[in-house]
Amino acid sequence: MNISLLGIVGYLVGIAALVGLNAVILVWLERKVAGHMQFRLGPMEVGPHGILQTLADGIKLVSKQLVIPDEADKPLFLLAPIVSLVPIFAAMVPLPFSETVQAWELNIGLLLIIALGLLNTLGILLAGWGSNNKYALLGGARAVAQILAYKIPLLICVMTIIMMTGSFSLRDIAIAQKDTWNVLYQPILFIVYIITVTLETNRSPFDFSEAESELVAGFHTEYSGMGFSLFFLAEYSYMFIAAGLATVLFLGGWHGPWLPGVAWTLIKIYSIIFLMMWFRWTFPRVRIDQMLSFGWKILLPLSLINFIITAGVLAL
Amino acid sequence: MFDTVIHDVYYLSFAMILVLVLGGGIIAVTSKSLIYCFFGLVSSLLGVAGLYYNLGSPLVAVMQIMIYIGAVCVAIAFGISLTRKTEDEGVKPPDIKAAIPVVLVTAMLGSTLKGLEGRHIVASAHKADESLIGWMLLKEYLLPFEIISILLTVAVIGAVTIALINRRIG
Repeated sequence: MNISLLGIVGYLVGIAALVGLNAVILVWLERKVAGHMQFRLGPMEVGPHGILQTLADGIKLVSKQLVIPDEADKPLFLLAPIVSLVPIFAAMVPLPFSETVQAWELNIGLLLIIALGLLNTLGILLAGWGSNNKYALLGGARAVAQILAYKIPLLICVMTIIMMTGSFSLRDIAIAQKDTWNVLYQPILFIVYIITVTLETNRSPFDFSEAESELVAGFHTEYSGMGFSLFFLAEYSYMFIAAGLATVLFLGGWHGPWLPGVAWTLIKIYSIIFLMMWFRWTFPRVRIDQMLSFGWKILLPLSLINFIITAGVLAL
Repeated sequence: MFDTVIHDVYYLSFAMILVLVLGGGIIAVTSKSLIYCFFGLVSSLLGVAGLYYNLGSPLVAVMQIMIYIGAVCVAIAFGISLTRKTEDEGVKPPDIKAAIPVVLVTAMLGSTLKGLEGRHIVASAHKADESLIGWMLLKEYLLPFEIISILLTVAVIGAVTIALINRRIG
């Protein structure tokens, strides 16, 4: 293993910049997409087309007082946003942006990202419990209840792709799609993946743990200022990682004509994120019991059948 | 100069992992609140994953996170979220039965260390071949592999039991 101090420092600075910049862009994009889909303009005041609006909001959030409820469990309450955010720094390590741009080529990169994605749920549960608030607790309990319903179909999706490529390394998976993208072989699996990932990142129509119309703001009801912004940094970074994984698993990674690899990766990632935002402003929120039965009765059998058929085709 | 810094960083990370494992373990067995016990357990298991990584096996480390935190701890959290929040649902006052696991673990660790005495221990940092592990699990060690999967059943039954006991008391 060849480690240099400069490499580590450079990596940390790079990831921190990526996490911050990504959140700034996505918050602005979300408000713009929401606005235009509802025949509004969205933020227009700060900077051209409101592009600096998130910066202004960010400064406001940073300078705000962090209110801790009297009855809250203080250590757990303060720990929760950190537990949500920290795994992201490790989960971005194996994500390849092009053939050469990758923090660290890890031969089990895919497993690492999926395993670290699980820690986010624990952060939500911590927040729900630590807040000592009924709505927050319900949000946390919902996050735990839904994890099994989406994680198993998601893992079977990923296993199918691993079986087709024969490698856990994200770089190898992208290289294997040089000529034909996996989405052409596995269109159903791609749909299942997008649905499970929408669930994993707590996005509407599956945002049960923060459902505004039912739970005020769910697990982050009691959070203000930096606590709130850390949760949002985490949520938008998980969206980035999930879309990055979709890009590598199904859309051929950095492969594409004319433009350099990094540009193609970013275009694909932000297209998938745009798709997820589109969902949010198109579909009404489903009920949690509908989602659980959808996960267990439709997504799981669908991905299993797909898995078996793929295995059969590969064995022939 | 960089080498010494890396060395220091390595020892620092090892110290942090030890704090996670031991601190988490102590919280897990002494805390009065069930949720603190739970997060103590999570921290301890996360630290063990770090230890595996430091020993040169990222695959085992990732599997530790996936199986123990992703499956076992989530099953336990599921059980806890079915119980009420009261102050004294964590560890009960010391009981003579609590001595049994302490004695067992001490005996096991002691005999293991005694067995290792006099042997030359080499830190293994060679790259593990994941495909070989897969072959071994599905060919030679298929039966042990299947038996280990009972673990999850045990976790779910444990979670339900915790929930039921608390319900009955309440």
